[in-house]
Amino acid sequence: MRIVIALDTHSYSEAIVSEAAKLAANTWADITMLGVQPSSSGDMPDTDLEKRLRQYRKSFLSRFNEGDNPYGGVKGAGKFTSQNGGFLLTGDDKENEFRKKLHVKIRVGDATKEILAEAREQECDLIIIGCTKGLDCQWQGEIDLPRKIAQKADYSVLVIKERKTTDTISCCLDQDQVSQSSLEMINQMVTLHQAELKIVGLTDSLKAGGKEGVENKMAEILKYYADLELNPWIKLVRLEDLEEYVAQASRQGMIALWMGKKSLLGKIFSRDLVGKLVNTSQSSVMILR
Amino acid sequence: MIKMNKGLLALDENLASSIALRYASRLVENLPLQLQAGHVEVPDNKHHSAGKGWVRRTWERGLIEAGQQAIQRLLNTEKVPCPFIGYPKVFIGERDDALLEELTDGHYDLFIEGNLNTSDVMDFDSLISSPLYTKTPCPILVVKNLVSSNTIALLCGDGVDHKSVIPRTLSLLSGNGLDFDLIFYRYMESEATISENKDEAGSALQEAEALLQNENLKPLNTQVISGTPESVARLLKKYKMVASAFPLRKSPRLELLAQCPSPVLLMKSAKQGEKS
Repeated sequence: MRIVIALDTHSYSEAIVSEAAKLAANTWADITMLGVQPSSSGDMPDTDLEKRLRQYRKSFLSRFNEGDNPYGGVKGAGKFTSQNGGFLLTGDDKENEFRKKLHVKIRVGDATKEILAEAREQECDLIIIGCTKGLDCQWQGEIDLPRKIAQKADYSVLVIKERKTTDTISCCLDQDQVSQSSLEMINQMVTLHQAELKIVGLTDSLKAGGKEGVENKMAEILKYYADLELNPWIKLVRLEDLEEYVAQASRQGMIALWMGKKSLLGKIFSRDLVGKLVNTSQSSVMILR
Repeated sequence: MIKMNKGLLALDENLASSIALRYASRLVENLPLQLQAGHVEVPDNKHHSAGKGWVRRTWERGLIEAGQQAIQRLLNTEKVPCPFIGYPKVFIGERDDALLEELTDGHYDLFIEGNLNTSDVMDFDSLISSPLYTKTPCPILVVKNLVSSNTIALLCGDGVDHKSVIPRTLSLLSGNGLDFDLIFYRYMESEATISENKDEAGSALQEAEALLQNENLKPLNTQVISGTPESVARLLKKYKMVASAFPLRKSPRLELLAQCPSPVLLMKSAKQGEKS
């Protein structure tokens, strides 16, 4: 599993490091901690961003006990060296010494484009990004960046709302294709937060047969999680009731949305709904692809 | 001596039945309940009048075999230890008619089926207005989700005749390891819920407590809960099931039972055809 954690210098980014570390500890994922600085900032790494990324790395590694730490690569402070137009934190140690990679990188350019480019290059499974608390979900100085990432990424995206605990994870499904990795990701999130799991089937009452396809997949998912003793709650929601349901569910916890290629939501609403969900949700949002 | 009750578990090859089957397999561990599985094969219209005599018997045999295979697939998939009285019964015809006939002729004490919790209250309204539900001569357990709790909520208020409903509910649920909460529901137009002392329900909850005491039972909690059906329903998800009188008209209680994510047990009065 590969995870890209998109970070800037603000408190919502600091807040997601511990959550990312917990997920990494359970999945032993390869991690890239990514910061982006504008092209106008010169040929050297931005001092503030560099300092913050070092702190985030230290904070990330501090979540592991000495014996359990699967990460390494750079011992001590290391230094940012130029690489492919950006900067990579490097040290003297050989990377292969450790089983899993923890890269700290700075890319140069437009933040949205560079985060998406890094995810593509890494062929990552998940992008994790933080955002401001409250009814809006923003990065400072980058209008609607979390929304754009969630909309445009070809990979799963976890948008973590600052200072919002996750008691419930409501996973919305409107298609009969769900990847094993997304099921496992939800399992990890439920375990990490000790949260209640809800599987919400979206039914298109206009299309005969759609409901049955979703129900069959929900039956498989129920069995998968029941075998893991998670016992999810099951609910069917009509497409026209989704917005109201999401507004209510986001007050209680995280919303996850399976948005595969066959997703009705993807077909009917393009990716606008995803953006709206990210922007208006009062909780963290996970887009599963 | 504890009476052994007999329940009909309606099964189809779908998610709702998967949940109902799993739930029922846990329920029989707590209750003196023997289950008969039943499945209805609904014939296609074009094949409905498939001849007479040998031709018809062959056609019916084919449908029954298809139904048996469907139930066996469900049982094989779920792999839950649910002891049944006998082989699953397969009926041919309209679903409501066939199940109603079996429930009437078979003298069952309980009808169980799965029905998924939906965002539209009208779905539940349609369900309990159906001929099957209105005419079923025994209590009905609608399984919406798997809940592992061992506490049952006895829901009073909003027109529930607790003096009639509670004794019959207890006779059905007199099992081992089950606890009871008494809840008096009161509609209130507010997103927040308010829990109040039992005295706020007048004498109703005290009488209900006395009815439990008659069976040597004591409720864990007795309280009045006020709120919208939606907000109170969220509180009810901690219960193994929520038992109440069969709603006869549209009301906040009907909406509460519709929104409740836990299984709901609908008790009928003697007038509504339920056997005493």
